[in-house]
Amino acid sequence: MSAFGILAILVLAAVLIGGPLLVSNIRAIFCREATSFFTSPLAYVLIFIFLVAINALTFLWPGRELIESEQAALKDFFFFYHPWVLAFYAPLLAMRTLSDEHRQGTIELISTMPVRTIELVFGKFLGSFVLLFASLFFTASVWISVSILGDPDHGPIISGYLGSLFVGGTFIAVTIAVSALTRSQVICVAVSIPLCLMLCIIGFDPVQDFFADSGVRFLSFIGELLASISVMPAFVDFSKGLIELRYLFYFVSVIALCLFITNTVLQNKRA
Amino acid sequence: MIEVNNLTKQFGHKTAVDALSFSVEKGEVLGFLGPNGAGKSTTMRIITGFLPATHGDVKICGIPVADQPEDAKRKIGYLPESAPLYADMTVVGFLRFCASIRGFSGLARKEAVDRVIETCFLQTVVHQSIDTLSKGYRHRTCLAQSLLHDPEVLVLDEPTDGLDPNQKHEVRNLIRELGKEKTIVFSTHILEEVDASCTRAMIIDQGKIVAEGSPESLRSEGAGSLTELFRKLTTSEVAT
Repeated sequence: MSAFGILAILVLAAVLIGGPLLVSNIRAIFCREATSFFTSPLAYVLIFIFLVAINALTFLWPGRELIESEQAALKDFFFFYHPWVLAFYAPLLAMRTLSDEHRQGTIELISTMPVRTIELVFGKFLGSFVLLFASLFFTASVWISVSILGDPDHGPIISGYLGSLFVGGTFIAVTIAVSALTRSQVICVAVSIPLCLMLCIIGFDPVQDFFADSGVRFLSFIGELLASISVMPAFVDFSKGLIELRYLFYFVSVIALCLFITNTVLQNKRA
Repeated sequence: MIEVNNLTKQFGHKTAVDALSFSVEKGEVLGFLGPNGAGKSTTMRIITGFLPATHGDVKICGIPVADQPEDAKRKIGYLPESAPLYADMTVVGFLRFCASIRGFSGLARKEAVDRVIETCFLQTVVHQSIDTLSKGYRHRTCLAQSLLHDPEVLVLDEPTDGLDPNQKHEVRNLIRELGKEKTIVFSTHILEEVDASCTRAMIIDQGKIVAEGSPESLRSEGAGSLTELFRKLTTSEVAT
């Protein structure tokens, strides 16, 4: 990927994330959420568990050990695991976003202030997203290790991280939508994790091969339909260094849809 | 300042608020009385925009709450019954957050927060975590956030609930002082607070107004006792 491409992606990310933070209500809620996370021991426990999982899978998975592969590439030995780990991790990050507001009763307080529901939802999404960003940031130790041991192509690594951020952001948005429907964090996690895993499985190569090799036209169509709503095809291309506009649109639209659903559920719940 | 017109709220088949109409002007302190389940909190939640009405409308300073909720909410300071707070924040951190939501920043935010800390006597707990506060201090912290933006309208749901006698006295005095320049509606079970703080009182039961007037006129209706009037108007429904 060219330096220009990387710069374009970073500018887009800055606009998508920085733009909403120009809205003072979103900024205030985001700051509150981020501060709440980082002053809680739970955040550090979760980040620790995430790092242990990612590093263990990268360096110790039988037959896919990074060091033994002697390849200075992270696509098949590091980024391969990200969607699956994020399907568990992102719901744990986001499970308390709205259920805590209901449990503490603060939903009544915030709803009677001049804050639009969508501003509340977006601020909470960004609060969880920054924790995801911090978690992925600390996995850069693997990137540094590979850079010392070999000469990797950094473009696909950067786009791989972007893919992980988008996949994690999608899973956070799904979890927030579920969180709006229940006051229980346990139910939220129990529903969100399978949903996120399904978004991985339906686009996973063995599953796609089953539909494609069935020889039945209808099943092939179903396979293509499932691939179009899965995060995997997009993520695989990101981890190869291919950033296509349609996949950017996919991630942004799924996140927007989940946040819109959350907004609608919160408004209708009080009606 | 507060206009409630034919307000009705139904939850399924249950009518919590039944065609309520009243208004409260600047300088008035309206005491909202009623037994548990009468519809006091529901009415307040509709006034403040937390719940939508099934029928009817509410205007705050001429602004319809349903059509222009953000503009109406800027005029209101609200203390919910449960005094909800973010337990993982400090008192000053919570007030700064609320001030930011209310549009304050920089020096103006600091001055607003300092003002309400002084008004609500929170100086000794400013840097304390909210989850370690006593009930009285939690109530005062939540009251403080309702005063940050110096609102024209205050809606206080049982503002003295759980406070000790000294704290109740302080809050009643505060309500009386604020009521000279603002429009205040507060709900209570404690009938002596009507005399202490209100210029007008309203008794509601099963979502309807059953009595309304100045504390003196209501007392004379109850043969010299507000308690007697309250029991006369609301006990028959409890007995059945």
